[in-house]
Amino acid sequence: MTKTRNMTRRGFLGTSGQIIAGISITATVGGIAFRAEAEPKDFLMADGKIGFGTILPLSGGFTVVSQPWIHAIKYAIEEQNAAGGVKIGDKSYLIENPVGDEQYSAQGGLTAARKLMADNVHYSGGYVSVEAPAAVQGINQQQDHLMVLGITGKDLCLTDNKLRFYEYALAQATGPYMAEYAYSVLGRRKIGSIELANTWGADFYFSFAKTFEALGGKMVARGYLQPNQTDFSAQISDMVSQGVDALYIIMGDGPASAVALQARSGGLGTDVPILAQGAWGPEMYLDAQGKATMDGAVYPGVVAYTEWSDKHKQLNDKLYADTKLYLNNWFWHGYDPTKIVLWAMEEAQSLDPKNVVAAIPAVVEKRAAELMIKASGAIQTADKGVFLKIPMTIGRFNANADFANEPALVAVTEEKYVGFPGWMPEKWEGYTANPADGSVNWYPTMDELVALRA
Amino acid sequence: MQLFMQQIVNGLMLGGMFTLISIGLSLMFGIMKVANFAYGALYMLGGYAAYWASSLLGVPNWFAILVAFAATFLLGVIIEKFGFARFRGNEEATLIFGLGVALIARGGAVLAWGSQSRFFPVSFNAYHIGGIVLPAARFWAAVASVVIVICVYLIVNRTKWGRIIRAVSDNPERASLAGFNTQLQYLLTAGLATGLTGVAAVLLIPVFSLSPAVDDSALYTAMTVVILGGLGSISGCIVGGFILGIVTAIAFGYLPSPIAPAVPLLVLILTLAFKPEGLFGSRDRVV
Repeated sequence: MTKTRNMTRRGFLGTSGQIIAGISITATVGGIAFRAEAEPKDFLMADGKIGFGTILPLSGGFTVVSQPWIHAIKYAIEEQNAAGGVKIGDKSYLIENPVGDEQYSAQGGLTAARKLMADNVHYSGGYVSVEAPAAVQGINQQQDHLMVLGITGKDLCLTDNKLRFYEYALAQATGPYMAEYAYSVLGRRKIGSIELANTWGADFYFSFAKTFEALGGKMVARGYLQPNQTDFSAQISDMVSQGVDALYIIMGDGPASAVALQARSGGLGTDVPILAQGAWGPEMYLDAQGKATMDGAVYPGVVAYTEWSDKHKQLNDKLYADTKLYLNNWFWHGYDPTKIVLWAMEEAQSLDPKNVVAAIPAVVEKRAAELMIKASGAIQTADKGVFLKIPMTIGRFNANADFANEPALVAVTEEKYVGFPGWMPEKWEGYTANPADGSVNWYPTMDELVALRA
Repeated sequence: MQLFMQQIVNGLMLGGMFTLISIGLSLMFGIMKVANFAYGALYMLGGYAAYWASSLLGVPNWFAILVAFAATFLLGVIIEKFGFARFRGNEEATLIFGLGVALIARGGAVLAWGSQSRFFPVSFNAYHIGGIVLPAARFWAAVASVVIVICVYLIVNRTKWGRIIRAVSDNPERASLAGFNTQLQYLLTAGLATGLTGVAAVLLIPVFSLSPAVDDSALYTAMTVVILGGLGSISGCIVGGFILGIVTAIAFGYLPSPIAPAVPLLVLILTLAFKPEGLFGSRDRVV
């Protein structure tokens, strides 16, 4: 005979309360205990190394973008390992660099990130799409995982995420300079545009258009493109019919090459300059078509993209040997920012990402001279992570450059457009506001930007 | 009105090219009853064969077309011999085999040749007729596409070999009893069908560019055209190609840009929903 016990409501609530209280106390005590011994072994991989992962497309589109970036992170880590690794207290830790396939998709990025997190990797860099980092940002803070990313777009990089190191320029900061250059220096008045259909594309469009229109120019025939789109004849015909005098391509490499080619053959001749954003690298000019269609394109790059030194040569040779590609903006997304994070571990004397991200502003200032991208500090926000203060330069592409021995991007001669701030001023409300807040001026004009910086 | 006419002309040129991309897939399905998911990858590989022949050996474009045809013909024969032939009658295995070949081809292409876009040298000249712009490369690609597709139609429907492969397709056992080597006919059909993808690649790369990622767009385009026109119907392939070309041009020319890319897919969905056999399709159609 089985003995049963009827539970009253009071009894049930009482028992439940005891269980919940027990769990809470255990979790709290456990948490304290965890915190007490969290440094640094709890942030190491099974082999005792620090995991710094890379998440970029290894398949699908955009592998041409990801290859320089993947190798840039790898080279930075190799250099740190060659110097003895990361020194915390009296111990040094080597760094391992597992690579995950972003697949240029949310699911791909999320799967790759989860794999890294399962392997106790607390740092990852890369993320070339908007969709993948947006998805990973949903879980990274829970997992104590610092994301090092540099793809702009307010709905991606200006959302709350305390464990974010934003390592590149914001569209809001570069767009006005590009627009002013197009209007004042190139004398353009009617610009047609084609942009990647996501928040990255939208931010580059609006940050440019607001200033261009404020100056008196007109934006016409705004078009969108998909990463796998191959035909742009309809959009080009629309631009031709509206008489555009410049073409703004907010996208890089494969699709951008096709847009430029089809524009040139579809009625927009070489007297219509191309203004460009995105992954524009020397590989776009290696054949006759690239040279004929894109030579002289106007493009905002990091300072390092327009310079050349022995170190450039050394990195360029190494990258070419590994990938048959040359240095471009995407390399500079990976190289210095990875070093900054590794140095920040030493600065913080901790491997806890929360401590490391907090140490980034200090380490950038202290070691600025060692950075090829000439970053001049970083902005610590309350809830959105840390944003690098990275200078940018408008350049013209030299399709005929000797890419093995000189930069493909030649800085323009006008001083104002060389080394301008690629970050938004610290008091900009975008660093604290919700990206969905329509009352915020998300795309200040050049005049408004200057006033903000004053 | 002039812009509308320009978009129609754009659509016609695009339609011609879409037809050429699709003809090999239609042929394979019509004769061999094979849904070849490696089709886009073969298009891409044909493009690289021609590209390297042109850039490394400096051969003229017409010769590059022959190289691409020969290379993809051979690939088609190999894939048929060691893949589709073994899985004939097993649709799931055929599908998975095709997808596997596509993945390997794309990954291999990235490793071997990098993922940057490549182009054939082409003139930027354009013909101007009454305010309508006809880019020379695009115009001649469209014309060549139509000529090639008509030739394929005539070969399949008006020649002795065409009758043989249609007989094999209609009833392989009976064709075999009649003395035809059905395996040889399958090999030749697979070779021709994939060889045509190589030709398409050479003609269309100057317009669309070449990279390992073009396989997806080629496969999607070909699938859409073939389903729209009717599986295995060459006539349907021609009509389907032109409809898709015009719909695409009008959609991108006039609809809000975020909506435009969905319109060709909408055409595909509507076809599957209301006329799943396609415009020229029938259950037992043989080309």
